[in-house]
Amino acid sequence: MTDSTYSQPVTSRTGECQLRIDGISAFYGEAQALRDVTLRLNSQEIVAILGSNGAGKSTLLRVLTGLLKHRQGRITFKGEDISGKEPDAVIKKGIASVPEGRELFGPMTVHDNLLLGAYTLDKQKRKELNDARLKMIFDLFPVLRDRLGQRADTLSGGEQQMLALGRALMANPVLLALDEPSLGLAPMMVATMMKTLKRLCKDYGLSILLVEQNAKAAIEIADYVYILERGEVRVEGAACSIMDDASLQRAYFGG
Amino acid sequence: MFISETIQYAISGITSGSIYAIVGICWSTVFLISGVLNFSTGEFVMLGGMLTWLFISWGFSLLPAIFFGVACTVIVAMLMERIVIRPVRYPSETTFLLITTAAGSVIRGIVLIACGSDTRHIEPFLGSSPIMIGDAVLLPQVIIVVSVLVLIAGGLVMFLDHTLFGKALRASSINQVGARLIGIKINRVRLFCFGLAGGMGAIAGIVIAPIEFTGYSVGLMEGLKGLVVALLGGWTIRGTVVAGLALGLLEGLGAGFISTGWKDALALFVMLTFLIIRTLDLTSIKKLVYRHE
Repeated sequence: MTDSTYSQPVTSRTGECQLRIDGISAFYGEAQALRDVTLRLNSQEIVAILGSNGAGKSTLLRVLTGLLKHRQGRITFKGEDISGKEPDAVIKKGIASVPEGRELFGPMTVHDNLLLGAYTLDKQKRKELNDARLKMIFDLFPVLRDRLGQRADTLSGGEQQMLALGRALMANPVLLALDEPSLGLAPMMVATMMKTLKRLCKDYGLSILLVEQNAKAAIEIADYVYILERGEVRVEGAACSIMDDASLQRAYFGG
Repeated sequence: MFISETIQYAISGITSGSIYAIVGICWSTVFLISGVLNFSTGEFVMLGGMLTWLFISWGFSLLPAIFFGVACTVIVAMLMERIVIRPVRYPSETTFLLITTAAGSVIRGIVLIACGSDTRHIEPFLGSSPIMIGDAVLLPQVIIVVSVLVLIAGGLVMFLDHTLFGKALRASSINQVGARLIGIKINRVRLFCFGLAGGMGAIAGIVIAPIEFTGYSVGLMEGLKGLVVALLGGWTIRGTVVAGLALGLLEGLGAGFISTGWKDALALFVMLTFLIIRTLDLTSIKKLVYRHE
């Protein structure tokens, strides 16, 4: 177990800074869930946030998406202060999320779930984008095309995860924030999901903030990694350097 | 003779049943979105009738009076959401039950003070010359009541299934967190649904006023029966329409063939029976029956 904060000079990262989270502290009632968390994400970068259960990973996403109000700190996205904004304002700025537990609309059809993803776009933009977006989503996940008229809650776990990701993409985001997209998926499916995320970053120019408990799968596609422990950033560094560090390997990747 | 009597009772049953169905839809519109059992739903019905009567007595002609009656009720319903429901800090079903019941009493009290306790009457919209079906009498107003139900239920189904905002309403009632994360403003949706319930309730109260009279206290029974049919109909539009018409028919025929005094008792008896049956745990009953196998 290493206690020293492992850090890579931030200047070594290329690309312009897109999202900056500065000294965020958040509470559930009196219990502190996040303690002075600072991180940044550059455009077209995949940043993984790792850590065990209860480390504060999901809380961080809840703060970012506007579901939870934080007490201290600042979130800047593309140079604009978005701290404390409501979820609809955050998504309009270009941050879409795939939440923990997917939060789909089970009794509604796959098609309706996807269409609702574009809810915040104005009518004109929806008309322009919807068809192209649907095509892109079917290209990424061909199975969704066959399930279009089916109720969302009749899909398998993997298909539901694809739908949740598809719904987020419908909002035409710049940044995707995902909360444990590998949870409950078969290993094959996890690999496919990670490959898709890499593709979204490479081919479609999205930035991705990936919260994961499956550290091995996440670190393989990530550019930069933050490891949270009890609500604090314990370790940060480029993905390759973290993978090479033997003590970190033991502590966080089980070997 | 028996046949035309039956038809007559059925007509009056379908008339009040249509109103129950609309009021039931008002209950579910609010409940499915906000989890609030709004015990002042019936007061929207009363307000619609009384305000329209008031505007007519001030010299407005029928259509503008109806318009203002509905508009004012919508405003009252939305104010209620904004002032009475939204600020509640520790929401629970009991809290909302007490709050909405209290709000209902306040509305009733204000109308009583402002308009008095007399029953009021609005002239039938299309005159009162009846259409005869055998020996049974069908008033033109009844046709209006039934068509209003068809328009409201049909329009609502179309709206919920075929517009993005309608789909957003359904999504909000299914999963609030999911709805917020795709950018739906839940507070606005709630406000809209209170207004919608107010408007639909008011329309029900207006079209029934020429047949059944209106007055400051009519909301109590209409509201309660609306709740009965919303429960029976499983909070769906189709189910509520069927349950509303069924309850109306049961009441109409019961009142006709047994006694008028049984009318309200029948409705409440149906509600109690349904609630008791529903609380029985079906799986445990099955176990009891199949225990020896």
